[in-house]
Parts: sequence; structure tokens; C-alpha cells
Amino acid sequence: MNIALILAAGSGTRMGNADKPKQFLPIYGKPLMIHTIEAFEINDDVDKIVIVTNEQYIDQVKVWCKQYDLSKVRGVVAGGNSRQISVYNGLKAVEELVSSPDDIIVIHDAARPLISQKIINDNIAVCKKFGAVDTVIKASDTIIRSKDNEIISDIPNRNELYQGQTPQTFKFKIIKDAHEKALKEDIPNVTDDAKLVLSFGIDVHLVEGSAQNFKITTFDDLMMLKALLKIGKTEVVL
Amino acid sequence: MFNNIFKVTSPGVIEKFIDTVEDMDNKVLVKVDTMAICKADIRYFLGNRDINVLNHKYPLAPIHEAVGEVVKDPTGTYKKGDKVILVPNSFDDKFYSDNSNRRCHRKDLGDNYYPKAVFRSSTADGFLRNYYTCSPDLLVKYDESIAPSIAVFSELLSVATAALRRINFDEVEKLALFGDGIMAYIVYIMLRFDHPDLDLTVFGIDDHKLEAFRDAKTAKFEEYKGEKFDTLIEAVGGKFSADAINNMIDLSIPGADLILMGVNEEKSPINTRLVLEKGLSLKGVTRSTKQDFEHVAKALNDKKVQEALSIMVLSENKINNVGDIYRCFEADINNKKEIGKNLMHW
Repeated sequence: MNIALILAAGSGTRMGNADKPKQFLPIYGKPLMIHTIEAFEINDDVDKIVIVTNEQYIDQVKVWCKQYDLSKVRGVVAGGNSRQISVYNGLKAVEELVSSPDDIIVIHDAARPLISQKIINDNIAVCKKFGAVDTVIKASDTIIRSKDNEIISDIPNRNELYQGQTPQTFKFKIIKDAHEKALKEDIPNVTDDAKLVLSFGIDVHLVEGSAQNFKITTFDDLMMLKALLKIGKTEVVL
Repeated sequence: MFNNIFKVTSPGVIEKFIDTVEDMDNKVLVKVDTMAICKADIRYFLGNRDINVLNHKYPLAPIHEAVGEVVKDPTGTYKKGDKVILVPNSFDDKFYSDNSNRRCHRKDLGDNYYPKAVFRSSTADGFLRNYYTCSPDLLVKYDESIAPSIAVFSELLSVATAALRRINFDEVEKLALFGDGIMAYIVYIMLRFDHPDLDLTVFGIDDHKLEAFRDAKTAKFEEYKGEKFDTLIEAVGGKFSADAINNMIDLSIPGADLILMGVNEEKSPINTRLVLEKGLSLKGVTRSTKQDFEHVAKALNDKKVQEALSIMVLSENKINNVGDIYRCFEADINNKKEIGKNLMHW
């Protein structure tokens, strides 16, 4: 079984004056996160969906699931103070749905609405084979490391660098064990599940993402998404 | 949900657009699966039409030959996973009541002959997109045992069906089909399916292509010494269509019906003196109706039809980006030797 775990518990602190977190902002009349979840709803390989969201939005998200006919959603649970806790809360809800430790969990940011079906399919296929997968795109800009924010400490070789996206996809046992071990060993605030799994010595394989699968983090990102969509609304009927 | 749609924005340029897939209670959501490129798509892609016409059309998503799979159908007409042929016609509620939208009331003319008929990839965006929403009336289910790479030729088969609908086969004794390209081959397939015993002669110029018309007599116009015909179909198009039509006029018996299917951007000079002398009837055929597609969905179940269509699959190509689309267009543009198409899959 393949279960999508959608993370929609962000606070949206980088969105400027918006009165609600970015994942709830309407894009052409529909909350951003619903556009994202629909990509998983229509994917034939995804069997069930669990949503992690801000506690005060749980009822609203449940209403949206009904309104937009998201029939694969099996749970809407509250997130935590960090991404790590939010994922863990989601995994606890997922645990009630899995039928095998090898079931596949596709963890995706609700704020990446332009996720393609190909990326979802590739994540599931590669995870089936290897157990742990991260979606990446090759770094196109030179990446600069600066430890003091003033001078360059290092310029890593760009050929070895990728930018991480989501989904990050794991067999259930691998991701659940990694999170429980992190809690036990008091490793807090890991912002990336691949990093967590990697830190326990498990190989994480790469799946090619897409520049289009960008995360709506800032107001500029939101403008970029709206601009892309505005262009796309052109319909020619003579 | 967001959707990728690819449009020709100027001659030789295809760009990706992102659109929203609208949720509407009375529409079916279809995942587009397999697409084939038509000569009309190539004309838009290359800009081989009057520039004033093109400037009104661009940006325009090409492709009107496509099949897909039902993802969601709130109307309850289709089940999730049903394989469907996409019908490229479109009509709105005011269509029939609009006084400026007039045509003859002949029964054999389809709705597509109304001046305001909308056709995908010509007067509305086509199917070069990941998802498509439409009324259930614009889909025709086909049997799931049939490969999408075979079913994708349904639109062509439906046009052939529309052409054959214009012929009264009770009166046909000898039929000539002019052309040795894709359209002629498709007409040949439907003729053999609907009228297997018909006396059929195919006229062409390319020996290799004529070999594909296995269950028909084949001939070259210059060498033909046989009997003349009462029904003749032109499926040549392009710059040679005028020659073909004049050859057909020469090979007609008085009172014959001539069905014209080939598109030519130029005006064709034809021998009207003989048209008058022989009392010939010329009928133009383009595009088809939903009923034609339904007939085709039945024909697709026929093993002979499937076998005949299978030779038309020149290649199957996975489309990941605009570059892959360019390569398919170029492959079809450069193919002069084989009867077939380079298909695109998402």
C-alpha cells in the first residue's frame, strides 16, 4: 500500500502580511493545499492520504476534503512545533492504516502544488526497490558556503550538488524507526526526513524532481505561481 | 489541481502553460494518455497558413487525435479507469438557437458543419495536455483490451466514417479511392470493415505504400485501363489534390459521386467542363460527429481493423518535456515513406 503524507502545518511566517499560512491561501478559488492534495488523489499508485495541519484548521480541512471530493483522505491530524514533530504525528496516524512494514509513505509539502504525476510515480517505484528516496534537482547556481555571513568559507563543486525537494519517500518501517530513534536519542528539529534517515546509516536514493515543483515559501513565490497560472488561463475560442 | 498544457505560440515554437483543471459537477476529468499529430497540427506548428489566420489562432494547443482514461466522473456516466476516445467537437447551449449559425438541414451533415462549430486544435485548445475536462457527451468509451496506440487513430477513422456516410452504398458498383497516404489507408480500413465485398480500387503513386492496401486492387492512374467508377473518394490533399480530382473526373462514369476529403491550402483548378458534361456530384467531407466515433469504437474490436492499424504505429514516444514534443513533430514532418505516425504518450 502507498500512503501520501501531506504536510500542511506551516505557519507561513515568511509570507509577509497574509492573514493565514500559505497553504490555506486561495489560488483561483481553491486553497493552495487542495490543489496539491488533488495531485495525489488522482494518482493511481496512491491508495490513501493523511494530512497534517495546524490544529485550528483541522475542521476546515475536513470540510474542504468533502467539498472537493478527496475520497482517499483517511486522516487529518494536528502538526507540532517543528517539521520533525509534524511528520511524526502524521506517521502515528499512518500506522493505523498500514498493512505491512514495507508499505510506502510519500511525504510531501502542501506548499509544492505543481508536483507532477511523474515525480510521484518515480518516488514510489524507486522506493519499492531501495526503501528510501529523496526528490532533487541539479543545482544550477553556484552554491556558496559562508559560516559567518560575511566571507566565503567554501565553494563546493557544483557537479555534486543538488537542491532537495519533496516528496521524500520511505518504506514505513524505515521512516518510523528513524523518527523514534531521533526522539529517543533527543535529536530535535531535523528539517529534512532524508537527513534523518541518512544519519542512521541508510542509503537514500535520488529521484529527479523539476524546477516547476517549487515551494511556495515567500510572497514572491506566490506571485510567481499566480503569474504562471495567469499565462496558462489563455483559451482560444474564435 | 494544476495541469500542464502545451501550445504553439508562433511558427516552430511550442511552450508549456500551466492551467487549472476546473471542477465542475457536470464534467468528466480525463487523464490524456496517447496523442497523434495531424497534418493540420503540422500546418499550425510550421505556420503554413495565412498569417492573419494564424495570428488569431496562436497561442493554440495542438492535437485533436487523443485517447485517455477517466479519472473522475461526477455525472456517473463513466467509471474510473474507463478508456475513452476524446471527441474534439464542442457546442454550447446557444449553438442551435443562434440565427447567424445556419447550415443546410440535410440529415447526412453533422453538427460540425455549423459555421460556429468549435473544433479542438483549430478553434479551441487541443489535447496536448495532461488532463482534460469535458461533458460526458464528448467522450466515447472503447474496450479496455484495445491498446491506446491503436485507439488513438479513432478520430481519423471517424472522419473516414463521416465520408462513407455521405455515400449511398446500395447504388455503388465500383468504387475508386485516390491516395496512398494515411487518410486513404484509414478510409480503406473502414471500407473493408463496413463493406468487405465492395469492388474497390486504390489509386496511388508509391509502390511501397500501395502494398499496405492488401485487400483491394491497386493501380496507378497513368497505367489504368479498366472500367470507370460510379463512386470516387479523394484522400490525397495538399498540392496534388487538384491532379487527383481531375483524374477522378476522368475516371467517372456519368452521374458519379465524388467525395473530397483532402485539405489543400491552395485553390484547386478542376475540369468543370467534364463535371458538367458527366453530371457529377462533388461532396466535401471534413470532421466527424460523436455518432461516427461510436461506430469507430465498435470497429476497433475487429481484429482485422486492429491489425491494419498496427502498421501505422511508427514509434511510441514518452513525453517528458517540450523537446520530446518537438522531436515527434519533426519525425512526422520528415516521414514521407511510411503510412503511419509517431505517437506521443505522457
